[in-house]
Amino acid sequence: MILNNNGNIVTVGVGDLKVAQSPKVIKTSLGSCVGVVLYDNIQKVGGMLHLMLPNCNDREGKPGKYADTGIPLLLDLMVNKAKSKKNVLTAKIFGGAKMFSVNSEVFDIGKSNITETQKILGNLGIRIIASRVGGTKGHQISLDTQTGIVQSRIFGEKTEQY
Amino acid sequence: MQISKEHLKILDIIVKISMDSASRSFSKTIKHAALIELVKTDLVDISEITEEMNNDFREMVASILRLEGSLNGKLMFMIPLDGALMLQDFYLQDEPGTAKEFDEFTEGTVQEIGNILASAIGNSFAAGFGSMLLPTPPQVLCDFAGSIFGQLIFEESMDNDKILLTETKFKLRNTEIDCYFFLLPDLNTLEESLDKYEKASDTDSL
Repeated sequence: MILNNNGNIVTVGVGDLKVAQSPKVIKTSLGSCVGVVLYDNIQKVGGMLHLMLPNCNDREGKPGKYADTGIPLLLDLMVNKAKSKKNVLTAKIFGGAKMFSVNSEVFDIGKSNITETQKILGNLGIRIIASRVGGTKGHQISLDTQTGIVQSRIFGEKTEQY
Repeated sequence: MQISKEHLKILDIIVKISMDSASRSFSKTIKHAALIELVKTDLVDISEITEEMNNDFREMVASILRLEGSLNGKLMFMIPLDGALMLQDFYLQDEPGTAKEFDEFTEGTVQEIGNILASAIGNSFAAGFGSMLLPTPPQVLCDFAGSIFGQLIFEESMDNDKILLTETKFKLRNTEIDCYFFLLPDLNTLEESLDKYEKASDTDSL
């Protein structure tokens, strides 16, 4: 695989979450998974979660895999580790595609991921200020922690800024 | 997810033999040498392996199949989009550079290569384990490397943080094109098959 060795780029894998401060760029690739970006414009700190399922349902394993355990954990990292104030945090969400044209719950998990993510962020009082979700193709996103801008590229489409 | 070191070693040997056979079938099909650069079998963390994949910015074409029989699993052949066009020219015996953009011929080529590799792997595993393994019809995806790989491991990652993965990298001779073949064996059926294999080997050595 081609690796990007630029030290300023932080990559997030499935079921993982990372927090970084300017001048870092945080990026990931999504399919049916949803990418949640939290940003603190005062401290120039950003966090990204790559969740794959809406609910933990008492499953063991990485909390970052699930919306209901991963989003509170990302918020906790931003507030308690990065010392961001909760009321300055904003959210942007991406991904949640239906990658396979098969009539199966497993392959339409993207829609459930989007719905649950919106619900949890709402319950936590975090405002979603931008989103690009759904569709049938993969998604590459990168957050510039200096500006809070997310470059969003859907396969076959041009890159857009959010 | 558990697998013993001994079983991992046996699997690694069987995979290497299988890939050798698969690379011969692959080369014969496209009438061009496909050289194995790497064969790796390991229990990998889903976040770490996908982080590596998400660093690959390339657009890829992939053919995903399931193996069904006494050993279940998933297989994926993945090649960069420009490589798929070159592969199409090799396969259809056209002049290099004939295929310009992804179309149904490219999709058909990648599907066919996926089928051929899966059959070669299935045959090698079946010979090793003395059982029948059949590949399902392939499904083709054209997308970012990370997005495709995420879908390949999705089901296995739902209940496990680590997955058993074999990765093979091929290089098409005299080109800059590299392509990848992944195998995700189902651990339950794999353990049963490896146990049978070990018992059969012990009996043979008596």
